[in-house]
Amino acid sequence: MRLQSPLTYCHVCLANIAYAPDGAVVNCRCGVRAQTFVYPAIFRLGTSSAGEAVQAEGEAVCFAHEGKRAVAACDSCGRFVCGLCRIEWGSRVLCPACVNAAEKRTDLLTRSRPLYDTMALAIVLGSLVIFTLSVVTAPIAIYLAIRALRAPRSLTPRTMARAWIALSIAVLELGGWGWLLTYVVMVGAKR
Amino acid sequence: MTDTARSQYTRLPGRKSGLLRRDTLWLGMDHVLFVRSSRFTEDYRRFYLADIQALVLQERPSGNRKIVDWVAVGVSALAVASLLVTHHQVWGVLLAIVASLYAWLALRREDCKAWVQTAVGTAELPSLCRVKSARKALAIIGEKIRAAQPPMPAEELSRVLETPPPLPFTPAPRPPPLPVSPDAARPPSPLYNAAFVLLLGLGIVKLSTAFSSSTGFMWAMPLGYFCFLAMLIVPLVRHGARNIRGGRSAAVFTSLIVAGSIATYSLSWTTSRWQRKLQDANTQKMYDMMERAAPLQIGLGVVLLVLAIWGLLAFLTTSASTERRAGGPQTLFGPEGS
Repeated sequence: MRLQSPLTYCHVCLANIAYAPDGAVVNCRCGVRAQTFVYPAIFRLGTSSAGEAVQAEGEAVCFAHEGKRAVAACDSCGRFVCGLCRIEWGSRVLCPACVNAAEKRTDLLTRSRPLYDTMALAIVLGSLVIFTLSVVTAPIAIYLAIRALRAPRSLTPRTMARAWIALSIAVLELGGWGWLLTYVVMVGAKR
Repeated sequence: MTDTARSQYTRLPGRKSGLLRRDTLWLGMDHVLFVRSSRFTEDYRRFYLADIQALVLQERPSGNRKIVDWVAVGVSALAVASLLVTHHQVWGVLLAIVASLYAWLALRREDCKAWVQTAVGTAELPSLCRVKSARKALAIIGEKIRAAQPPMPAEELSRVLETPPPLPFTPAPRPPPLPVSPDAARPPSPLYNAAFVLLLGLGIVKLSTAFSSSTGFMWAMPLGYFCFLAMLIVPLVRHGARNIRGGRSAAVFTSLIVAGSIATYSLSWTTSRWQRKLQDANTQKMYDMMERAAPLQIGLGVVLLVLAIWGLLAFLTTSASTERRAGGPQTLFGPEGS
C-alpha cells in the first residue's frame, strides 16, 4: 500500500511536497498549494485472507468451502462465507454468487451506457440541415428513440425529453415525405 | 436497478466540458460516481466511500495570469472601440470575436486538480478543475466518507503516523534522468529567426506607411501576413498538432484562421489596388481612410515590432540554452514531438 505520485508530488513541477496529515495547505516551490485529506481507510490493512480452518465441532462453515470457518453472512442471500469468499461491496458483504448475479441484473457493475436518445436527436437535427437525408435518417432516429425509451437509461438522473423530441420530429419528417409522395402520385394521376 | 434506485445520485459541484466530452461527479448512497460522457455514451467509475483513503487538491498558482488576462481584455476592448469608432467595423467585429474567444478560454482555464486515492490506486477527478467547486465537492464527499468510515482512535492514528518509516507516505523513488537525445543539441530552425527578422522589417514598413505610401510598402504587408502564417504552421507541423492540447490548441487554430483570412484579404486588396480595379466607391473610401489613419498604422507597426523583438529574444535565448535542454529541438510550442 503506497501513495501514488499526486499525493507526494507537485503535478506542475514534480517536486516532492511535504505531507500535512491534518489537511493543512502545503506550498510547493513553484507556487502550487496542495491539500491532502486522509481518511481512516488508508491505515486499514487488507481484510481478505485464505480463510481459517474449522477449529471445533459445530462451528459455522463456509457455504462454498466446507473446511473453512464462516466469518460473515452474505447480506443478499444469507449464506455463510469464509474469509476467502467474503466480498465487501460498499457497506455490504456479499458472496461471489451474489456478485456474479448482480453483474447481470443490476447497475452496480455497469461501466458504460450508450445514450440512444442523444444519438436520435443528433441524427434528426442533422437531417434538418440537409432535408433530403431525412428519408434515411428519420427511420433510424425512430428506431434509436424507441430503443432509448426501452433500454436501460443513464445511471444519473436524465429525462427522456430528447427521445420524445427526436421521435416527434422524425415522425413529422416521415409524414412530410408521405404527403409529398402522395401529392406527386396524385398530380401524376391527374395529368 | 429500479428508477427509485437510479435517482439516488445527486450531482456534486464541478464540471469539465468540451465539445465531445463532459466530466461530472455524482454522489450515491455509498459511493461517488465519476461520469465521463462523450455525448453519445457514458462511462462510469465508482469510488466507494468506505474505500477512499485520501482526497488531494492541488491549486495552481494564479500569479501574473490574472494580470495578463485583464491587460489582454483591456487592450482588446480599446482596440475594438477604436476600430469601431474609425468605421472599421469588419476588423472591429473580427477582433471582438478573437477577444471573446480569449476571454472564454481564460474563464474556462482550470486552476486546480483533484485526485481520489483508494487501495487500488489514485485517480484524477477532472470535473473538479475550479477551486471553488472543488472545495465544495470535497467537503461534501469528506463528510460522507467520515460517516462511512469508523473513526480511528487518536492515539492509534498518531502512533501510525509517527512510526518510522510511514510507508504509505514514502515517496516513490524518482526515475533516473532520461539520456539526452542527440537531437537535443540541435538549435531551433533558423527559419524562426528569419521569420521574426522579416516581421521586424514589416513593423518598420508598417510604421512608414503611416507617413508615405508606395508600391513596395503596399506589397510588403500581405507578404508579412503570410510570413506570420508560416511562423505558426512550420512549428505546428514540427511540434505535432496532436501534442497541443486544450485551450492552447483552440488559440493556435483560431490564430491560424484569423491570420489566414487577413493574409488572403490583404493580398486580394493589394492586387486590386495595384491593378487599379477598385471600382467600388466604398472600398476606395475605406482604403483612403486606412491610409489617412496614421494612429492605426503606427499602432499596428508597434504591435508588429514588439512581436518581432519578443520572438527574436525568445529564440536567441532558446538557442543559447539548447545544450542544457533535453527533449528535442525547440519549437514555438515546446520541444518537438513532445
